[in-house]
Amino acid sequence: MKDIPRFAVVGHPNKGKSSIVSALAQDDSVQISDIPGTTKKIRVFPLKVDNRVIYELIDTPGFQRARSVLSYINKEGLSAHEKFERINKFINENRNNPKFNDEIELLEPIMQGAGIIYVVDGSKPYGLEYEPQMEILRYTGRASMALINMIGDEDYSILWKNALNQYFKIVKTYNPLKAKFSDNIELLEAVSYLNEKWTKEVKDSILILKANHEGKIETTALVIAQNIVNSITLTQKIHLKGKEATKKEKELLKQQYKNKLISLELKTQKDIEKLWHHNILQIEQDELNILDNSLFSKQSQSIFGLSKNLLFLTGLTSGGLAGAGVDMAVGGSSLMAGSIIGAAIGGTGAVFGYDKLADIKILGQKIGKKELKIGPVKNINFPYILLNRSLLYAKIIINRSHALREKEFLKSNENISEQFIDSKTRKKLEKLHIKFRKSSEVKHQDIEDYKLIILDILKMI
Amino acid sequence: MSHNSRLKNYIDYICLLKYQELDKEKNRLDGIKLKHLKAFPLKQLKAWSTLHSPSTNQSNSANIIKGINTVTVILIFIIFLAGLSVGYGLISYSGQEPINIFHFLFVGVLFPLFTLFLNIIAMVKNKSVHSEFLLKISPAYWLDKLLETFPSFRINFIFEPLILNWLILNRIQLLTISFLSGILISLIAIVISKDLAFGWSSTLSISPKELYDFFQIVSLPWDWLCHCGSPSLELIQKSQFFRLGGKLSKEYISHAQLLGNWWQFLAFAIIFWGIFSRVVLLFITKYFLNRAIDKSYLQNEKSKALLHNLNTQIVKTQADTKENVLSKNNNFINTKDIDSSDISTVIGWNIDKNRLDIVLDYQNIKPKFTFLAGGNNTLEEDNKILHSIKEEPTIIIKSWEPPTDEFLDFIEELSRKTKKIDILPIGTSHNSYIPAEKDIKIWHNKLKKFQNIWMLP
Repeated sequence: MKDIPRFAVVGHPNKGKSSIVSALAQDDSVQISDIPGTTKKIRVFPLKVDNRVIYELIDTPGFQRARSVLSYINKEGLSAHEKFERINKFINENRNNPKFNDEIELLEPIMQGAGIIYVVDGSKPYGLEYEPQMEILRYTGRASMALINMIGDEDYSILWKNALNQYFKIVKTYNPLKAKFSDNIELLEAVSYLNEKWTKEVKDSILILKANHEGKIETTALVIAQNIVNSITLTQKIHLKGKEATKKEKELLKQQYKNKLISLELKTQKDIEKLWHHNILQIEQDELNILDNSLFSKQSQSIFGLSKNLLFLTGLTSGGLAGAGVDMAVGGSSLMAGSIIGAAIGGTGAVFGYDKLADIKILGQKIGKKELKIGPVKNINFPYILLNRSLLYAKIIINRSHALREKEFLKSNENISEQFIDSKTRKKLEKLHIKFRKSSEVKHQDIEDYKLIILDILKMI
Repeated sequence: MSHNSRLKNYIDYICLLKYQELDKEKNRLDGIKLKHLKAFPLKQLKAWSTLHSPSTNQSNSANIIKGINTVTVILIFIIFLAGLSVGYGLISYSGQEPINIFHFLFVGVLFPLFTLFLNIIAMVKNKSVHSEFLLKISPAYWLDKLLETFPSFRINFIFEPLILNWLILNRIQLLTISFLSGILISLIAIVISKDLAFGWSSTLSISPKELYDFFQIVSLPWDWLCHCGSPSLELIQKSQFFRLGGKLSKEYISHAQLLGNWWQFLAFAIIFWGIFSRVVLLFITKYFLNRAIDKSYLQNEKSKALLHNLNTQIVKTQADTKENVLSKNNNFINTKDIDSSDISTVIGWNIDKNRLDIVLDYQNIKPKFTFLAGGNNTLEEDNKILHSIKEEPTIIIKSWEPPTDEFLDFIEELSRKTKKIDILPIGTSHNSYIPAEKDIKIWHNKLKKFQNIWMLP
């Protein structure tokens, strides 16, 4: 079996190992807690492409009894090349010893060949208690790097670097709570140089992750485009009981319409969250506000689903066809009079008998239906409102680190669209908005064009 | 592949998309099997449909095709009968007046040519799915509208309008062929069983020569095959008749044998201009129907999503296993105020000497004994410290570094020697050595099992 790159994230308890893993693996299911010792068992985060593992990140418990382990290793005054085996011996002897559970968990993957990513808190002063840990890791002989995690506001990174450079091949600063995708890629670039036999796999994985990221942005643009199109073309109708719509029916329809718009937006947001693997995110935002004066309702009637005009056309055509049959039967000697008379009877009958026809029942169902229809929203700014909200939301989601656990607050009054939509883009958008409102069926190509505009904006964000 | 089987496969495919939720992982597994077709999306979709065809029980494609074919056959039969009767009507010969070939040509050739022309216009307009003109006059559109009113009658599959229109255009050719075949068979049957006299008569001033020239052009397609299929000048000259007088002229009757010869021209006219042209159109509409079916595969919204799933790698970075949710506990150990004068033994845990001196100075603590434990001490060094402790110690700890098990071991050992242990947490110099509240809480939680520990504020 091919040796895949594996990296164990190790260090003192509560120094952000799990946050780093959560950010790199884009997994917000990782337990991140102020309580040290949250991680008791290793957890593996593989990068899989079509179920094929490319590399593995391993979250480990923190060192709890590093000096005891170091004491064991140094007991017999062994030389450097013997210390490696001594660690293996320690693991074998203490595998079932609960006292060293955490040490066994973190050392085993390293002894099986995993590279080391050692995490420290650069916002706190350097401490002597870290040296036993770093000694143990040095004795494993594995490729290693140190990450200075800036958890707090203070900065002691220079002191840390002075110490860490003595033990680790690469020392980098990284903040998992603020890290964006580009920061994670930069970190992986550094990791790729830990061991030259893994460089190609890790670099290939970077390309895969980048392509995946691009793909997700494109899908986000499509989801937003689809939602806006659905919202600005949305109509709702209710069947009327009486001949005219009552005030209650009108209000009911308006509320139904607003609720539907809100639910469309919420669904879009959930889809985007799911796409970016934010499963526990909480966002506080203002609800979509649709002014009553943007909504217009219209009463209509139909027979067989046909409006008056369509029924006239149908009557005309079918009457004409029936008359043509008569013309053919008499060998044409009627000189198409049958078709003309048939068309006239069919057409006028449909127009004048429309209302009476509506009340006729066939198989228990009235062939005519009265309904009240509402929408689409006439306000020309409505699509821009939706677009702004969607872009704000997408910006938060795309850039949010999976290590964050705090609630997000969406400021709906922030006009992100203005920053990124120039007059040329606005003209293109307006053209499309008009097309969407006018068409009975939106063309795929138009949605595609709309998606591309949104994609360009998202890339800038 | 016949368009019936192509249509069946299409129906199966659409039903698969309709009844199955697209599963990214399952689709990707299929995509890996079909990766050689990545550059041919249509073939890939069809191959995917074939892969899943055993599970198309919910597809009533066979029933739909059967229904379409049944309706077509019934209509062909009815229209054939209509053709037979129209043909019989057209060449009903009473013996009083000859059969005017113009009547026959009008119904049997010209009218079908006119409808052929309309069909061609419909085909030209039918180039896109969203051709609203054709849709609104298409019988498929009205049928759909009608069925919307009676949902219980809706079949469980709705064709794309483009496909339906091409299908109808295709079937219209069959029906027309059937109608014209009826007329042709009527003609031949009556020619065989009765004596017929054909003639031509018109108000227009058409000379026999002009008519002859015209019919030469009309019969050009079959003249090389059968010269008897094109009327001679003599036949045209001798078969003109006039209705004035009410009786046929004796001269006309003398050519009775000759007058029947028109039947070959009429038969060939129907065969070529009627039936053959419709056969050509039948193949053309079949071709476009197949194209429409193929186009519909790709234009379907779900098809795009399916192609995306088939051809996009699934990249996963999340853990396969779930983590157990931790419960939070808030435990507090005893606290008391600092009494600097009361502190005689101080142990700095994980603290270097310089920092310890600064803290002691800051807190105005002047202990008799000072020890440095933890840090990079060996365990033996810490054990020596434990043995040296005579009085109740105050352990100064870095509040931001949570206690490890090593510290708890140390406290446990120390507890055997002293009744009480005080813990003095300190913060960083940046915060004037004041510890953060959240850090203190962690220490309280970790030390909860010890009854003899007191936390100094």
